[in-house]
Amino acid sequence: MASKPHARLVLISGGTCSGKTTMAKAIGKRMQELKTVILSHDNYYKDLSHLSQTEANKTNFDHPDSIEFPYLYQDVLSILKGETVNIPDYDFVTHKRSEGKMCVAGAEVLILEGIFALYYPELVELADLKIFVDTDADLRLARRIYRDIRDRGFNIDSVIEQYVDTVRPSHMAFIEPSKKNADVIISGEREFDKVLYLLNGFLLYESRRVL
Amino acid sequence: MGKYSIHGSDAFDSKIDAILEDIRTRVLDIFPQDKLKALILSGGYGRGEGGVLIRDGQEELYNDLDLFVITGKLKRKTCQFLTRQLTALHHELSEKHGIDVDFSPLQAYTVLPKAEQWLVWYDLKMGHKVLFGNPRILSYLPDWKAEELPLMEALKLLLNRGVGLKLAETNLKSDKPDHDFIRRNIHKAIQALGDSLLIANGLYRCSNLERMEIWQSRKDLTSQIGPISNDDNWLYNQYITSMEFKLKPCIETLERDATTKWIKETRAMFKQTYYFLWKQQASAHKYTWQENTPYQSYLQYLSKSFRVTDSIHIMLRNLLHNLKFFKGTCFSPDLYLRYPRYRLFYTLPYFLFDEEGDVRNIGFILSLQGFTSLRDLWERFLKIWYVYN
Repeated sequence: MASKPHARLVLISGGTCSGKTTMAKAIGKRMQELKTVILSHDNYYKDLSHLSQTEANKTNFDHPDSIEFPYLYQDVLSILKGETVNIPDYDFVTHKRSEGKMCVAGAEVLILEGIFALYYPELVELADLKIFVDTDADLRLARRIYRDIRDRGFNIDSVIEQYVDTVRPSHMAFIEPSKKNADVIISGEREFDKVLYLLNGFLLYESRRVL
Repeated sequence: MGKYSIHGSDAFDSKIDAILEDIRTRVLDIFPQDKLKALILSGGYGRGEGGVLIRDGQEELYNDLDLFVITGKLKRKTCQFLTRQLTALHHELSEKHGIDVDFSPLQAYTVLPKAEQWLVWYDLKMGHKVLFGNPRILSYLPDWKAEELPLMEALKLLLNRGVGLKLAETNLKSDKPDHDFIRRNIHKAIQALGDSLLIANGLYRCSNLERMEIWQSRKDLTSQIGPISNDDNWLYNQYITSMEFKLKPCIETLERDATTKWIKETRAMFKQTYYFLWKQQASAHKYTWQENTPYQSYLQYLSKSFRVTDSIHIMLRNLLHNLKFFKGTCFSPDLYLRYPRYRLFYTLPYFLFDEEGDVRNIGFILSLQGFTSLRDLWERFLKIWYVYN
């Protein structure tokens, strides 16, 4: 059983393209008084470089088992204890996870974002604040099509095929049910300003509170 | 309607409150608090539908008190130590309160999101009371739909209640029959018949009252099985009676001939339902079922179509289970790579329905060498059942 560490943990979950990263960055920007680190669980996908490209491509990255959870959990614990941690890099082309260049030390607030951030009970029990960013499926799909074509070079057929085959079923099976673990459910379709104001106050209060 | 039962009074609730408080205190005595995530009352009383027995004008508990223990991550040795402690506590508390206080095997909260949709998990999630710990801990379980309960859950339920029915029959033939045991197990077998049909039709609900209401609105369910003794409504009437018994049990003396007839009828309905549901299971795997020879179809389906489809990891786990229990006796990959429950499914009709079977083959399936009688085989079956049901 992990002892309660001194840094605060914020989990941000939500479906694909719901606005998790935007929310995490906005909180980080707002929390200028505290040393805030943003971590994505995407960096902890399992290393599949030993598989052929065809086999690796068959892997369902929209399933919680695709994350190397013990590794992620250990790093989260270490960061919360104030230890220095190297965050791994994950290459989605080669499916190789490598020792990362980003080094984290002395964090006061750790924001962990990802579609499964509220799925793992170990993280939920550890977190000080759990946020679910709720965005309509049609808007998320539209954002995803835009992102994958613009940033990742996919074509429309492959984006929609992946959405129907794995993204949507996974959302229904794992992500949407994890919403019940959230303390706060925030619309990913509106401005975050007022919510950030509240979260900022909460985290400042929590970080100054002596355990 | 009380907190723990439909028919119990406030005094009855208070009585259970006191017992539960004692259980909670004693469990906390043996569990370091950081290791215990939650202590949960499940079963009838956890759902608020426990049995209330009226004896000499007094309300008494009738069902066991079933408790789920959800822990943090435990080391193997700690888990074994706490399990032994809980076993001792089970004996102590059962004797003290005059009712079985059963503790589930320890479950780490980290396994909850990956729990399979088993009837036991589903019922626990839908009807329980948290006595200690995180009141929302079971929200880590997946969001299951009642209509998606696998048919295999119905078949497992029938396996367990079928064994109970056989035990009731055996007990009735003994010199000193235990009337309460016999009646309870016949009722449980009948409840299982009704519940298994509800599962098969996607109509199962956790609440007893809801299930009774569904049966009242869907009497046509009996037509799927057909009548026994020319009584089209036998199952419907018996199911409702058995469910009422569950809520308000009685302990009157049974009359031997009437009970023998009751068991005979229940067994006949059990056989029809059992094969009907296995036929559905076989159909789902595109296996052709011969209507006129259901037992042969069943055995063929089990041994041929009901093949090992598990991953290597699961097969190895099954192998370890089998080696540990059967010590390699009558080794066959077909038996040793499957979960031992397979052996129970394979041999249940032989014992319960008196189906014809080669005694040597039954002995082989149960990995029993040198048996001398049917009794040896049945005792072997029961030993396996106690561990793997």
